[in-house]
Amino acid sequence: MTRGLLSRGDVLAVTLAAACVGGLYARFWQPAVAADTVEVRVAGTSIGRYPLQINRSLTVEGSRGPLLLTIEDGRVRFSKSPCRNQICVHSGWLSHSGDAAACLPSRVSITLSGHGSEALDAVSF
Amino acid sequence: MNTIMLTADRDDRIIAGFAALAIVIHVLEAGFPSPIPGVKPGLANVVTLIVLLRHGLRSALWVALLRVIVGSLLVGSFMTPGFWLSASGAAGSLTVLAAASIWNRALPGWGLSAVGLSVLSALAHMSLQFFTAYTVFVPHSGLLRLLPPLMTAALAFGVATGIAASAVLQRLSEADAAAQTPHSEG
Repeated sequence: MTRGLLSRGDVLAVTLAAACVGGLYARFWQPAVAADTVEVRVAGTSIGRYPLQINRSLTVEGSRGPLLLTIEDGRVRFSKSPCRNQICVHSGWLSHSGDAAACLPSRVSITLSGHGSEALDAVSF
Repeated sequence: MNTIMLTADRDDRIIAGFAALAIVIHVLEAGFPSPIPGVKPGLANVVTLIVLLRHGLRSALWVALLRVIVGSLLVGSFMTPGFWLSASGAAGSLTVLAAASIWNRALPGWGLSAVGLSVLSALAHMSLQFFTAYTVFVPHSGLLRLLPPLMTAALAFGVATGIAASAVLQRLSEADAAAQTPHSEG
């Protein structure tokens, strides 16, 4: 019995198996889902949800003065903030479900959400 | 006086011997650190495959069943979540091996040998194990992101254990051939 290592059936099985595993990557490792709403919180309490489809500017009264949020083409960003470090402004445009940005001195944060599962921050066991 | 005599026949001895071998591999492997939970080479499956291909499905089922139960008793994981994961994985892989045996009988031209059987049973093992983990223990959609890399590991280890089983089977059939001609010259 000196057949080769792989029979025809083996080649078929391994090929199908590899195709299935590839399909799993396509199914479960898709890029992040586009968000459709942004929730704005001040000092931890929500002050409203806004759809990302409608372009507009929002002025949010933070604890250090007004902040400017810009919603444009399904994206949102902090455009102006009274804080010193401008970390929220440097966070730039956000568009994926699960994305978030905050101005801690002003105690203002935004969280994006959309349909489907939210992107993971971390997985631990 | 009624005496029940239990005599071990040839099949029983084969099952016991191979089960013992599989249990030793199972216990050794349990002591091996794993980089990712759920990822193990599954070397004990080499024994199941060898028994399946040399002694048939019934013996292979017995060896796998004994290995899962006795192995978990020895490791101390009997009835823990890990045991149920491992048991459901074994159930999945044995179901696939049983289906593959029927396939091999029905379509000999497209028969599966050790590598094909090993890959299919490894993927079935991982799938069932993952299904149990997802439905029973951690029903969080984030877990699904782990499925592709886990299945990739199953595929790779399936090929590796299949090659190992194939090599052992080759040696065993050479040994069989040598045993049948014991008085060969030289």
